[in-house]
Amino acid sequence: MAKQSQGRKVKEAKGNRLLVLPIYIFTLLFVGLPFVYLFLLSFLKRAEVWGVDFTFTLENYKRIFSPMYLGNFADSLKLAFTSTICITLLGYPYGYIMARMNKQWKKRMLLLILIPFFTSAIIRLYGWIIVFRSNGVLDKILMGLGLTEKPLKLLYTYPAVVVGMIYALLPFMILAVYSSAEKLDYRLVEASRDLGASSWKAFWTVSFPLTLPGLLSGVVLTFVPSMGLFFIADLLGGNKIVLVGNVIQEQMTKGRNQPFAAALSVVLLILTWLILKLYRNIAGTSELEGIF
Amino acid sequence: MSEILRLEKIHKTFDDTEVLKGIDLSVAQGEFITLLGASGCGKTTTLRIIAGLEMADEGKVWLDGRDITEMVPNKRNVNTVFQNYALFPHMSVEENIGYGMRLRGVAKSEIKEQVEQMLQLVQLEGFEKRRPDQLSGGQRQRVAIARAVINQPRVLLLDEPLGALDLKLRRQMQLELKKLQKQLGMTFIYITHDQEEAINMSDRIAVMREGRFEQIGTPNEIYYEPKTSYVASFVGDANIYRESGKAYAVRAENVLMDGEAVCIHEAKVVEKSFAGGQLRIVFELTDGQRITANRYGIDADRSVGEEIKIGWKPEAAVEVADEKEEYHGETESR
Repeated sequence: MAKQSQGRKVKEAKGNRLLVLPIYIFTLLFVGLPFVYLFLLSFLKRAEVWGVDFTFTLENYKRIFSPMYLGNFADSLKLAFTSTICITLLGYPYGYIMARMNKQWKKRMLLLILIPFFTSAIIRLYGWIIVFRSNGVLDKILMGLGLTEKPLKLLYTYPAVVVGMIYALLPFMILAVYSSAEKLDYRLVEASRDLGASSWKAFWTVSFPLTLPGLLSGVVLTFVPSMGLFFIADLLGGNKIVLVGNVIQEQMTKGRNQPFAAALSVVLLILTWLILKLYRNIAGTSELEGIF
Repeated sequence: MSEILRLEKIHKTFDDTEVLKGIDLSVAQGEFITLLGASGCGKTTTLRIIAGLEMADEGKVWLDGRDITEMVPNKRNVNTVFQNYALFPHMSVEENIGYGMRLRGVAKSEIKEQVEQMLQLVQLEGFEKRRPDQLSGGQRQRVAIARAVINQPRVLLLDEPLGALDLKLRRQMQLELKKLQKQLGMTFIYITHDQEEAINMSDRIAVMREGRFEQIGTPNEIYYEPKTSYVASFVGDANIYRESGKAYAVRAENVLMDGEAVCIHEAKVVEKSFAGGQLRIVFELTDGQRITANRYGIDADRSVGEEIKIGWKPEAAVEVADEKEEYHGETESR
């Protein structure tokens, strides 16, 4: 009997593997192959008029290491750092407090961060343009309150882009922290209070370390995309703030230099991979909390 | 003995349910007192109010003559061994045990020394660097005790600390805990739903029921002089025999059968079971009351349907307040 059930298990396992096969095929076709294509493309030359010249070259990668493009990478990293720090400072408390609330409030707080997703990201960004532009909503309010005297001209500045990034990526941080804080056994906090910790001390010695995995995966989930969200820099930063994503988009479209765009993408991918690797080393797991 | 802790008319209500209905308790220095009761009787709430993890709606808590009713948990010189141990999963055994001392800013070398002593006390030497998830249930239990005891609290609160252990380990830990308590001379307030455990370990037992103390007394008093039918049926196997408006508690082991002098009740055997060396026989009296006898030995064997006479010595029947309600439910197991 034992043998029979074992045989059944093996069969079931095989059946299960067959069931997930489509996912593998899908991933291979739509993720794996494009990667290979991108990688190969990055070693080719741009054709004179349109398309690609099939000769091997390292020229694209050499070009990336010119000060101008390195500068774009540096700007992207700087922006990613700034927005990730802001997002963490805003998102961690929100996610943590949401997890501590009763069911009703949890629902309300969750709804607040999910509602914006019902509208297209581009349309929402145009909303920010209306807020930020000269004599826009923000200026009118500030001047109406007598806090400022003339328009601040916030649109097309660095802070405007940061606000756009925070706005777009905050939910990822909140959800990652929330799912981690939700799992936190509150009895541990009670135990710490019982052993003599003030509520502040209990937070830093128990709650915070135990929700750190959520925070870290939130950092990855916001840092990585914030290097590539070119349309935010485009719409709120004008052409003053040029991120790697913007350069790639430009080379792909106006520049008609697909191989160079590919090379930039490969470098960005490597950078992302390094960040994930760093995360793995710090968090001790490759699983991201919250979304995956 | 001098009083160390006093509860005065404690009331507590959760969502319209009155969990504690005015509780008074005085605990003496160095005493091992057990709050015994079925699940939902309010024993854990009582403990949490003493620890400060819950605030009483009414009433006062006194520790060493000081009113601590409103005091935050971290200021109270009281520590808890939690039911699920609540060990910090991100800390090693050593860090868990030293946690309280670290908070108080004790020097590292001093902490290390004390932690070592504690590990010795709970027989866990060599486990310093382990994490809680690398320990067995019994070992976690010991860490939880060490983590609380190291702070030398005036009162140690234990919330069903042995509930998750298997029977054998539980018996062993009962003895060890009792020994530890004597050795440290510390006041223990212990919670359990297991009457045997309560009788084995306690200096005094407070039987709790629906937010009140039904009876407080030594294990002997609780066992031999139960005041109510509920206490009698909760602690040990007792029959509640009712006759002319009065109720009497008769221990199952004191029920005699045929041939013995005081057998005056006509009875029929209706049920029989053999439980590990002990024979349980259920009789039905002519008036329909059921009486259970616990007997040892082959002589006591009777077959179902047999009609015999049973009885008990007059001193074996203790008059109790009849609450028309006896404890029947299996004890909770969590």
